[in-house]
Amino acid sequence: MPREVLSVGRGLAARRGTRLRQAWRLRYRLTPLTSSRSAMLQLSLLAAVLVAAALIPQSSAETGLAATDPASWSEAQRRTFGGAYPLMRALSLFDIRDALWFKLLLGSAAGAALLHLLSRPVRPSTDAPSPQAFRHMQPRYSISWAAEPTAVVPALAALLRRRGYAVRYSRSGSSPVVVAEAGRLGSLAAPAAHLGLVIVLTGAWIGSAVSFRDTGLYAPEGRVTAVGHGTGLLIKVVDVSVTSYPQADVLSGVTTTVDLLEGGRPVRMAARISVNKPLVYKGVRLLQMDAGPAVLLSVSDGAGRAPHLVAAPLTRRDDLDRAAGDVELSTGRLTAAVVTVPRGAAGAGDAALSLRLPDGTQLAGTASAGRPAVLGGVRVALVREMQFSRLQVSYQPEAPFVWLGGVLVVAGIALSYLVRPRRIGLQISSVDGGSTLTAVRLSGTVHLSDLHRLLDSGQTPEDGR
Amino acid sequence: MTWLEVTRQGPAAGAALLAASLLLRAAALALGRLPRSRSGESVKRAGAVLRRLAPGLLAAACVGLFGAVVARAVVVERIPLAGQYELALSVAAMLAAASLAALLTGAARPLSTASALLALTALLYARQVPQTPLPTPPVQQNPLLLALHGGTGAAALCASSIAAVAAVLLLRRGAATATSQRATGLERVADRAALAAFLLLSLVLLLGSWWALETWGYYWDWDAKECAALAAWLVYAAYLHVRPRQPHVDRRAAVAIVLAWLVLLLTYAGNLFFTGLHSYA
Repeated sequence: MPREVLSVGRGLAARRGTRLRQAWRLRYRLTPLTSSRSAMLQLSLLAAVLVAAALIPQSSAETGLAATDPASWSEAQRRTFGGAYPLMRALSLFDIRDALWFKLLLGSAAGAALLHLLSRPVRPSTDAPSPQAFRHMQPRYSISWAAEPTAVVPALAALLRRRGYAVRYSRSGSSPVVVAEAGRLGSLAAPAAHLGLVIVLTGAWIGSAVSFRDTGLYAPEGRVTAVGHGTGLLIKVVDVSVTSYPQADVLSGVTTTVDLLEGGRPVRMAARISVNKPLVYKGVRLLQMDAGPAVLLSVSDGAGRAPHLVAAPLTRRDDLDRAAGDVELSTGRLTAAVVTVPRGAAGAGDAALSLRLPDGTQLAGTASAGRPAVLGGVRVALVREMQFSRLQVSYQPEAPFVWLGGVLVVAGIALSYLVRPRRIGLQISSVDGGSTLTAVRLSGTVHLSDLHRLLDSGQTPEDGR
Repeated sequence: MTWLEVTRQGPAAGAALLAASLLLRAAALALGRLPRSRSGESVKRAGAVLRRLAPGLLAAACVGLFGAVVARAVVVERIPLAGQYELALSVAAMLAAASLAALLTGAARPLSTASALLALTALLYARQVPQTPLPTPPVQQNPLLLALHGGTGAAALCASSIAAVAAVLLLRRGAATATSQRATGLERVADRAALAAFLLLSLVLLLGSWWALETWGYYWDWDAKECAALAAWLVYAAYLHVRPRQPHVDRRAAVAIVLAWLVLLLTYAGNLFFTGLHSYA
């Protein structure tokens, strides 16, 4: 490989002036970075890092406490890892994705793959091997025939063509040479895989800048909710359906039917979103997370003026295992904690309210359907119980590029698996009225004993003629 | 016999047949090694009969195991590739089939024995994990991707195990064959199985990222199982760069194959101590 790069580089540099020559020189100096050994080192290091990422909980994996309660999550890790925790934290082992050293490692792997891609000769050398090559190249193989080279060459070429080789004629010194190539497509395998890797990493890097993900879009039934994140989209939840397996109290499916609006105009009507079936509009994905109870509150000032409706999703359970939730009221920027009393219990249908005023004061009261609670100058009435759907908003425009890169990697590997490039040189010398054929392997895994078998398989050059 | 009974009896019968086949082969080997003075014609004939019976038993074990996989599919009403038990069962069936193929082609008999032993180990593991089919969670209700992602995953583990067995056998022999013109049968098996595992693992990652985007909203979530699978992929990529002259497998390349298998085992069985999005897998 370095020999070919050098020869191609020098040839071009000689024709195209000093600046290009310097570029080629730089490229040649960087070539050791693309060696198999450095690739192996980088890949092994990355593998070790990912094993660590599998064994050490990652805060970037958006599950559990890390997303909802980072402080408790960190405390849990401190308890688990004990004295090693400060060092692990300093090394960013709990957040490898965002660690500078990991980005550098990833960047160096991408750089090496790119360099390898660029430093490959545009096309393999088409020169015939020199007479010296035939003398020094190993392994080589010789066989003699009674026929003259002029008769042997076309017969040999025909034989090789039948075996799927592309044949070119050349000369080496005074002797005719046949250069035969097969599996030329296989030489694309490594470039395809490396290009794929570069595309995957570039896509992921661009994606980290433009993509977003929000797992907390609470959309109450019958209400219009803004999707946010500058999308200009609104959704109106028409229906929320939750089903369970009859024998076991296990969720079997959650489906939300929504109308999607853009700029106030409906763009999708009665679209269904369920797990595994997201709603995709202009690259924005709305995915079903879960669903639960909510209450619709009517909020007004103490005298009952300026009434408006507020939906409060009850997303957690309180100490008594009752559905509870928090909502921000637009009147006076108050935060209300709502707890509903379940059916069958005393005061069923009531909602216990706890209002936190801006100065931190907490006020408590109970609201029911016909009996509003007045707390701190705010009148809150319970309108009805309803369902909310928790959706996820996700935008990953880079995903198709990452997949394209992934497909290229797979195609490259498959190509290397299925098609192996082979190139052989055959020099035919005239010896005492007959011919001597000297064969050398130029690249690939051509076993010269295979060539012997090929020539001895009932098709001698004389027969071919 | 009901489908439920087949799911219960199939793996046990398969394991018994696999063990019987291995015992027969061991007995045939022992008979063949008897000193000439003590091994009369009748002993030779017995050895030959035992050798002929072994593939039959192995074939019956394959039927039992694949039957159990089909029965499980009927019982759970989906592709049986979700959870530790179902994956172990599928991998055991694939390894038993590989063992039979190696035995019938006669190319690498030690590989056949080792694959059968691995299949037995997978079945023993399957006995240790919960077997009762649980209701399918909404996340897994995607038959196409469950079949593709789970199927390629099981096949990758199977190919990786075969490559690792061949690599271990090569390491035991010294693996000093890289200078010879032709690769040995074991080298070819190790190289091709490792390439197949790499290719399949690439598909597992690609299909997994597609499924993750459809279900979890992101194609890469730094989940423990995702990271471990990518680590195994990277070790295979390192193997591709380390092998001297394919399909020769030297000592370093053989070590890389075994390492990749160990990381893939971590990916598969890591559910026993991982937490994360793949907790049900």
